[in-house]
Amino acid sequence: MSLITGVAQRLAMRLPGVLGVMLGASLLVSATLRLVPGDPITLILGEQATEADRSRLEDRLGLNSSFGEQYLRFLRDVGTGELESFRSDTPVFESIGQALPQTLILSVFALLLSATLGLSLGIAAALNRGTWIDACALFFASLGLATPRIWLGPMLLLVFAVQWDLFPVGGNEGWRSLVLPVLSLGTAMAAMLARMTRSSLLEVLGMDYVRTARAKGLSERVVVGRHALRNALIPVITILGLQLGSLLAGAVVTEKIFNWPGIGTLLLKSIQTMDFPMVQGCILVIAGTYVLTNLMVDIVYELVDPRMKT
Amino acid sequence: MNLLLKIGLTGLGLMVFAAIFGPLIAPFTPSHMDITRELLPPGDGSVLGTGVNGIDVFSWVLHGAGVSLTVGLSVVTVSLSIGLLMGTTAGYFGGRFDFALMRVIDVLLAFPGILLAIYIAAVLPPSLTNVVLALSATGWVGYARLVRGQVLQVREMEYVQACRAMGMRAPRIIIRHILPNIAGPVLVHGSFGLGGAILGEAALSFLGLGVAPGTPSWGALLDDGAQYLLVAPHLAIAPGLAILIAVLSFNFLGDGLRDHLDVRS
Repeated sequence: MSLITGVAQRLAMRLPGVLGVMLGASLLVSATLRLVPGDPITLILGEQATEADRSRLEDRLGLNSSFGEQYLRFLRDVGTGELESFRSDTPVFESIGQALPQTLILSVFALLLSATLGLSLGIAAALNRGTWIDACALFFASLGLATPRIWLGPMLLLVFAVQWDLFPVGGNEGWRSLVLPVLSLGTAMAAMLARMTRSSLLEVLGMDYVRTARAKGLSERVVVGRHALRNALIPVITILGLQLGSLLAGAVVTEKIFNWPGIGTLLLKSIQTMDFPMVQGCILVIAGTYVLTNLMVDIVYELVDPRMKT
Repeated sequence: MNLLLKIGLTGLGLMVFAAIFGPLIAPFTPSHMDITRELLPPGDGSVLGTGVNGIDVFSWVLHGAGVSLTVGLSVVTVSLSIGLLMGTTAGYFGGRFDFALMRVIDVLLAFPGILLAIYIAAVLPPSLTNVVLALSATGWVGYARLVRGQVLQVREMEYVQACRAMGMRAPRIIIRHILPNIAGPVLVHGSFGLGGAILGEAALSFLGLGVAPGTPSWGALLDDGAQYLLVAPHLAIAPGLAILIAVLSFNFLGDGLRDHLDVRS
């Protein structure tokens, strides 16, 4: 079976499920306006709004029609890409289309950083189990995991942008602007990957086939590199894929700190201006990107690991 | 008792202590303002300096322990209750309810991290209760999945079958015989959840979607700190350290409990 048909087959198999989930997600996003206690109209317009303004907004949000109608209209607008912003003339998905690549750049670089850092720390720790290298790696991993992004970001800014003036304080002015946000976004994940790689590699190193490889006189390099590591990395790679999506959520916080012009900043700005269609669009696009990434990771994973074939 | 558990429990004790006695120790109330003493560095009558509107940072951080702990415990209680109810029902009875629950969970898992909480918090006015609501709306999913999986395993055990054979009713079997046997993993998940909820509240408040203005939240203070980084760098350090210590303690507590109860992850 060629690679392309393999991918296509799996895509076809999984697509209905993914579509179902996204329909459910859009239903939830649309319904939340009605489900939550409180009145979104008052929230947007304030207490002193005139009755005319209120009913106009109610009409735009579809809150004066039945929920079914409201949802269908929302779905149609999302489907045709005609969802309109409250506050700007640019359609919702056009604004998102401009912001999303910025967020993806941030997330992909954070992923690369955490993979490089996390794997090397984890491998170093496992191969030097019980030594000070192991202890240091574990310490940094625990610290990195518990350090909140909302704190790490400002601290990085304080040290590297304010005190030492090595990097810009915010915005996107070329690659130097990328360094601090990527560090702030990727550290927690690097820490998690380091812990996972360590425990996974330690488990594999105790297996019989590793002992066999050693017994037949292979060099430690080959034993670890060719036999142990390959199997140890399987669970790590799964997590790596799943985490790309959570980087998207973490990007919201990171983008605020570094004033990065991505979808997180767009989302927060829209929340501040109560631009609900834009907020809903952002939430759905982030969720969609997450779901699609997970789908791709699953498919690649199945193709790479023959045992996963169903 | 292992070292991790001891560290975790110490951290928890410290936080409970700060939450109960913090208001007595703190030199000022959270609402105390003095605009003549805005954004001052530590020293000169305020241990950790002052913040926006001249609030006393030390007093805020102490009062913040109570806010964080309240949110953390409330979110875990609400999520755990919903998760237990849903997870045991789905796991024990299976069938249509189980199918429907799993589809709902699929949909909720389409929103990464605290994204859905951000959305819910955005359509609600800022308040402590609404933060708990937003974080619990997604928080229960983890418990429900865990409990369901555990119940599925325990359900087929001989002692459960024996109960059934004796004609015991399902609710009694679940409460008396299944729940005690799945308590370990749930407890471990809960202690990690406590740290997660504290982190979630801080993040929401940092984004301006959390507690009402004037509530002494670590996240809100950190938000001020990030905004006045150039003028008042001291502002961001204390609340961030507080969050770090709290989350680290609860992670240690979870790790320690896992080892202590010999729970396999």
